[in-house]
Amino acid sequence: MQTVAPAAAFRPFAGGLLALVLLAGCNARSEPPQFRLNMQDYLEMIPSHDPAEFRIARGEEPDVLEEKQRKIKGLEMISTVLFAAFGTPDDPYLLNEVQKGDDNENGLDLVAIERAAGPVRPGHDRSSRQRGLYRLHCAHCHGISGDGAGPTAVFLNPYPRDYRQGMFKFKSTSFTAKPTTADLKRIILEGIPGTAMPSFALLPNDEVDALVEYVKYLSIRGQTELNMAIVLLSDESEIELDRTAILDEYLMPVLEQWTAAEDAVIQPPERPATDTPQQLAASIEAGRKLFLSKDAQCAQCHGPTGLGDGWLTDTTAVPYDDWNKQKSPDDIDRWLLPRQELRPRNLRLGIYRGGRRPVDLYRRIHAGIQAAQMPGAGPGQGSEATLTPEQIWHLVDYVRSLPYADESQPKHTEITLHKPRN
Amino acid sequence: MSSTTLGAHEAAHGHAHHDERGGAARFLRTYIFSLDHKVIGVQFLFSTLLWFMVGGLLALAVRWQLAWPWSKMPIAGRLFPEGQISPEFYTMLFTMHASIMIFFVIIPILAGAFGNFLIPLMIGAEDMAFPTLNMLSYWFMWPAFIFMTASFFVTGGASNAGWTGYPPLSAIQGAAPGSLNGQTLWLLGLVFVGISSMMGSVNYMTTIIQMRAPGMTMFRLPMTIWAMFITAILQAFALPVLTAALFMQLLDRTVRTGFFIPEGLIVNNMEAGAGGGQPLLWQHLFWFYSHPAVYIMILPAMGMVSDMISCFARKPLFGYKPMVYSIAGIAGLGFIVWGHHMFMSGMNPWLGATFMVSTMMIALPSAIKVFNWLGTLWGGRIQFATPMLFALSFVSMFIIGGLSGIFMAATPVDIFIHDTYFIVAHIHYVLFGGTAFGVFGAIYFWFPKMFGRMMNEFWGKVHFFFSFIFFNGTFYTMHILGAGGFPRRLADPYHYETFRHLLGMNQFISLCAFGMGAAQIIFAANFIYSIFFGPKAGRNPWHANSLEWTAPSPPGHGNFEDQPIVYRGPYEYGSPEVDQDYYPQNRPPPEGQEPHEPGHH
Amino acid sequence: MRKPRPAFPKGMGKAPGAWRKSVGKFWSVLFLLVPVLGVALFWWAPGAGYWLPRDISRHGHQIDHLFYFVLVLTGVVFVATEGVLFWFLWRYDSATNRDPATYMHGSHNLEVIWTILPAAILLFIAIYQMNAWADVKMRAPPGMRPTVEVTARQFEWRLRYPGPDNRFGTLDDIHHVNDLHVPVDTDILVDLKSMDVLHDFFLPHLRIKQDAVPGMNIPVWFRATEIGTYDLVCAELCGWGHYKMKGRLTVESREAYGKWLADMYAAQQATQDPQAAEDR
Repeated sequence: MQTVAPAAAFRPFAGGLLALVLLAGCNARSEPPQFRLNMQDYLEMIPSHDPAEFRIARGEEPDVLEEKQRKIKGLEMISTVLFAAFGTPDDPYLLNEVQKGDDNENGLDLVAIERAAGPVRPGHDRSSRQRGLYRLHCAHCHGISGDGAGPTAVFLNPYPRDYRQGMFKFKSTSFTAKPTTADLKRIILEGIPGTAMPSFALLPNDEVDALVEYVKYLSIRGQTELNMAIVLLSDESEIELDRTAILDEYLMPVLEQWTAAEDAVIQPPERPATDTPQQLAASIEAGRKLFLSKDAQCAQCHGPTGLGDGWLTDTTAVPYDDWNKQKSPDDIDRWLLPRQELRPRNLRLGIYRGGRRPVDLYRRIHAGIQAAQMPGAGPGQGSEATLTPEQIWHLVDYVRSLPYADESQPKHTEITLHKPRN
Repeated sequence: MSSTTLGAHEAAHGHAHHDERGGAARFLRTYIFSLDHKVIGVQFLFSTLLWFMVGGLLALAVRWQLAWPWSKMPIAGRLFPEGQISPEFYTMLFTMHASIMIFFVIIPILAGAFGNFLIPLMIGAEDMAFPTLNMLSYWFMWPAFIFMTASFFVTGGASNAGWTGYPPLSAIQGAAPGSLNGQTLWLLGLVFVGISSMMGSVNYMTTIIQMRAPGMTMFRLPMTIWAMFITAILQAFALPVLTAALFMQLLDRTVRTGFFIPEGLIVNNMEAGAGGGQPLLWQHLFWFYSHPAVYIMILPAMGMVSDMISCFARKPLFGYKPMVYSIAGIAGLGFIVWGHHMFMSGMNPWLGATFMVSTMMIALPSAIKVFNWLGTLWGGRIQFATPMLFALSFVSMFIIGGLSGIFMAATPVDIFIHDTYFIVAHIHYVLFGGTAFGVFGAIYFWFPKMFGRMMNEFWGKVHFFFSFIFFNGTFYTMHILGAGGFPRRLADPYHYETFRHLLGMNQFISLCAFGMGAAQIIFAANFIYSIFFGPKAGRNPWHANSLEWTAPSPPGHGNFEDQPIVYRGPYEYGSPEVDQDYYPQNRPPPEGQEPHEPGHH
Repeated sequence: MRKPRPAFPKGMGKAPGAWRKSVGKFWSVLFLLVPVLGVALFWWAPGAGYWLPRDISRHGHQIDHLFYFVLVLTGVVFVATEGVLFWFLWRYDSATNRDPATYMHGSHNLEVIWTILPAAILLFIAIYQMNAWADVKMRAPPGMRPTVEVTARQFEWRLRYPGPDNRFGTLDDIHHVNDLHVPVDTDILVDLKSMDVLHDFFLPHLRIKQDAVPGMNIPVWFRATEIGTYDLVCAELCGWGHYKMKGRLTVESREAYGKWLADMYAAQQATQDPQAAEDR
């Protein structure tokens, strides 16, 4: 059974205890870090499966006892399977079928993953660092397990991404698809403006590639775990755990989603001409009308003036994104982070988390934002398009013009230099 | 001239015999809620030494991260989730290291511990002017201790905003993890330290002005007392400004008054509030206190070092009056140089040029003091006792700290070295190499008077030797880091190519720092052992002149058996009037001889 | 008049044997090590690569010159005072010094000399450096308009160039993050702002440092003289991520700069996925 560290609650005490422990001179060797079992959070999240189900009290009824023992055994098996299929944070591992090789070009690159994994080497010359990239750059926020609950996470708004759910917001692909490799790379290079995710544009290219591969590894590992957990908790018969079953039922489907992402990229059609100021103004005006219209329904969240204060935000309809729905409810649990509300973007600040290029905005409007209540206007899985590509382009033009409208920039002043007096 | 102490002396003695109640109450009255300045001084000493240890451990953790970034820390590493120091924890470490060292160690150990213990003894009084106020000044440190300790345990941890607490980082809850409740507790803690200091300062001024023994003119006061006196004045004038600023920030944080928060801030995706304030205002107010506080943190040590050097050189202090005037000069100029902390802050550069001139000038009195210490050594008979070694190292280290200050005062140079390790080196040469070494010397020097026993000389010297070597290894090297532009307060400076090659030097520095920390174990052991088992000391083990050495060791309640009467200054070593090489202040001159007045030559 | 040696407490005042005599010398030499090793370290460091980063700015030599000027001046005073301290300790060690202590309380003339002399030197430094200060912080190149607007926020440098119309605050502004491009040998005026807390715009190689204060627009000007990439450092504590608020200054030829601006502009207007940009 893997250890479950109540990270967030533990940290505040560290400062106080530091002095005590240094004094006491306790010299216990610390264990190498382990992946945190997703299940622990997951069980908390589902009301019908409270953790008490996994604690065996004295004098339990025989059938209840049996049920509990079955689940505990299941948990232990999941833990064992994950260990066998993915290794540990210090020593990652991939099954042959998942590994990139001559006969399998869709797999993950174990060499790159190993570069990103492992501890930060003390005193290592950074120009030739071979290992520990993830823990150097990412783990403070995203956590060693990629659960988005590293030590710094609790102080950030919004929280860092939890990769294990397999959902990503800012990508070039359709609503439910995985991001492409290029998408992840772009996020690492450019950061996400308006959040705590910084730009890593100054890292060498190969290090960025290694980190991208490691993020995929963590995401696939986490989603595989979830898939197994869902089966375990569904009260069905014994969970099948031979190698083929694991691969076919839980792991390969996830990997296939990632492979399929490259084909799900949205390529916007040629935009209507906006070469002259008149054309642009017309497009913006058309976009404004659409923005307020019932077809696009932008204003009900983003507000009639784009300030992110639409009427729907006054109701409780959209307060959390999917990650926050799984965080602790209003009472702060021991290791789950408190929930943060989801706010529609204020479009007049000129901060675009998914990128500011027209093509980025087009994709945002076309595909929507997964897990974040922003619906797509283009055709989705089993749904009709609500807007034509041309209409989306008008909206893009309108949204892009908002930060530069006069009323958006009352505070902008250009500097005046001190007059030299000599 | 005051000579009203005789009556009060008797009254105090009478009072001592009234308290004949049960043992517990009596114990409380004698050792815990004591009104006796000596007990209060020792209470301050013990508390501040404990905090010194805490502050030192925090510094060692900082050094670990700088030498072996993000790697698992030995011993304490188990505490951190995922085995490594997180960046916000690192920020908390250096913030709290500085806050504790400055507000809980240096200021209270000088004024609280030594000021309390020495002032009545050295001026020949039986206690402070306001004993109850004195007791309160110690017990008002306790809320501060509690707030500061508690701040480590609240969500987000202790303050994260640097010891200078610059807003908006400190004033906005979402700006830094430690800006949750940690910063509020930090502010409250500092308010109580301020209250304590203010009580002490009023008491010291009154005591020194009103309660000197007969014959103890102002220019017969030991330098320690002069320094304490001027320090008390500095405290009294500067502290109200800090207290006001602390309350303003507290209001900004709690009811969003916006004194320091400009309009339109969005921090951590949250609107910061009404705005209309100016972050630079805090810097002005803070440094208006904290620059004089730099002198509050060194002047008493200068005074004590002057006494030690004269005693162990067996020679009168060179240039007593210039020394007094230069202390006063430092205090006066100290109020008009605060802007030199703000050369890069966005303050009007014309103002910067003005502050630069006043800052250059404040180096002058410090230089005069160094020359006079050297003059005192010249032609003496120097005894290398442990207190003397620390006093000498004070001079030696203060020279470095003072000279490196000139780099910062030169505004164009400050453009480059501002907020680099050059500043860190400078402040530690003044506050550690200076004040802390002076304090170590003072502890060795006055220990026999405090506890009636000597500290072990051999281990004292071992402590000095390793402290001195490792101190210089740690902080002298930091000048080179600073010249390389190495910035302060970065959890991982090696992200920057410019600073990557400095990792090796940082590892050397950290090793020295750990050595320095280990050397303090020798001191702690010597200190505790000597309280109980040290050799008994007589009244005057060092053959010194000032009045405290004529009292028993340790002095009883009321200090002196007889009212001391002062005939001369405290530095009459090697006087031709007597056969021995010291001449206590209260010894009557031989029959038929005119008392010799120093300064008339 | 011979004075008896003071009787010291236990363990201190033993008869002055040979070992005792050398103890004072030992401590004197320890204090001599301070100036010797101190100077040696500063002598060694530049050659070993631990020194001021290479200066690539037009005004930087003034600052470096002042640094060396102060270094030499303080170095002389440092060696002199520490040397005197050592010599007095060596010479007047009570274990070997046969002379009685000199009974004197000071010297008026000396006091006057060592007051006036340092005062004159300090005043000279103060006046001597005024010009450099004015050049960096007070006398901007006349008639300039800002080249780039740098807005610091937790924990990145947001950059904005005016774009083809040469005006800020329009749809064709060029936005970028962390990677500040400037043309070589050209006066650059930066409009420095902050969105949230205090930051500090520190270019070690250009000897530029200026706090960014929310609510203030602070002008910063410089001229880079060498093509290359250099670190842009945040030098004012700005929160937990202060250490990673790293930027890069790219100094390039005017042609390359113009091309970069044009490319940036084009990339920002992209309506299709340019494959090249994705592959970097």
